[in-house]
Amino acid sequence: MQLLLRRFKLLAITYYPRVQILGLVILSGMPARIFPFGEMMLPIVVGCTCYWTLFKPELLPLWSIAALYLLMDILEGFPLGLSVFLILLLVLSIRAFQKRLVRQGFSLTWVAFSIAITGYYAAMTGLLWAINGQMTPWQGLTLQWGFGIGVYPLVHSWCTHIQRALPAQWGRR
Amino acid sequence: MLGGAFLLVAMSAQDTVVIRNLRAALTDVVTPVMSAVTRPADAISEGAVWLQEMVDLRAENARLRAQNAELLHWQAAAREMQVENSSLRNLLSFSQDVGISYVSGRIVTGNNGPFTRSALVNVGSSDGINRYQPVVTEKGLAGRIMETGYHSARVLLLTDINSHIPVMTEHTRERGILSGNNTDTLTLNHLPDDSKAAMGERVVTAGDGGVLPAGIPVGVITATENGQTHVKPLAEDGRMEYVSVIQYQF
Repeated sequence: MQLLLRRFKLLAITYYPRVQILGLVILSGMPARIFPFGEMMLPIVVGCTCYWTLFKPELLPLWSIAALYLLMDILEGFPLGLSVFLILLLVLSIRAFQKRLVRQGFSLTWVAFSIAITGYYAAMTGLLWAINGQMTPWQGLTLQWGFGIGVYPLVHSWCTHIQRALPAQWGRR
Repeated sequence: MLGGAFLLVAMSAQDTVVIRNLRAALTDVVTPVMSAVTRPADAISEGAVWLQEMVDLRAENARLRAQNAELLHWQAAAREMQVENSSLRNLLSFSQDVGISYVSGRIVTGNNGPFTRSALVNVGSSDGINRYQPVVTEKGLAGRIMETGYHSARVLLLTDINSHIPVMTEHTRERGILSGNNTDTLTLNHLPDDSKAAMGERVVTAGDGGVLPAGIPVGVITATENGQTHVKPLAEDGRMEYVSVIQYQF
């Protein structure tokens, strides 16, 4: 029984970031009659991805990020591969600076995330403009981008709380 | 992996058959899962609506009685017009060239974000659904089919920035193009310069180009400012659960 419980814990720890992001991606694709905040989930998904990439990159391999964001492309109706391309670009950038960023305090992490999500939204708007030939209206875009920056402290605190709740098992496989 | 993703985006932008088929296959996998996920949530929300209806039963009954009396009056008028219409058709030897049938489906995913406005329905090519077929709710036009899988289809909602449909105003019969802009309001463009379209007037499909049948209610004019006419769609994106796809042969 104890062995089973340990195995379950290990599984939960290993897969938690992926399951968390999967849940959020599914929520983002829910019809508004069921979940009216779906349109605000995108920056939370990006926030969680950035957090785990920065603090526990081994729990979020690139292939799983690609698969999760491909699902997002299908649910959101984006051109296939758009979210995958942008998030991989973002994740690889974070990984390049990971050693330096991980030692910084929360304020600097927040600033770094704000820059990252600004780049993500700017690139997405630009690519969609190139594909559709029409500019995304700025009102909704600004609201979602602003919400993404504003909500990051909560996302950070949520993920940190989970990370601290399962301390002893980290890294053990 | 990054290069592969970029290649995928580039191919998506070209809207190639390979990408369309890949997308259709993937939506066929995702749709049953999302359908299963949304069922319990829908059941709970239906339960809440049922309870609310029980509370409002008396008031609802009185309202329906009044509405019934009014509808009976309209029924009499419609019968009279039907007879008149039929005799006029006979007089003109008018041949009906439009065949319409419906396939109903359930919305399993919806997206009302700033980038795209679309939804997935759980009916597809196996049910006879084809690209560009109109999708309606009980209130009016909701959008058009843009992709079809075997068991699923993607609806491009009227509010999406890529949606442009020929419409006309119901009373003044002025034609224009109704465009979405990823917000909850639509813009009516290309109306005549001396347009008499007023606030509160309904907008219906014009039937131009043969893609959409004429006369489907689309929305109501809510404002005219700076030469732009704004229309509120009758079918609310977020509230739709069941929709019908019109199988229309021009």
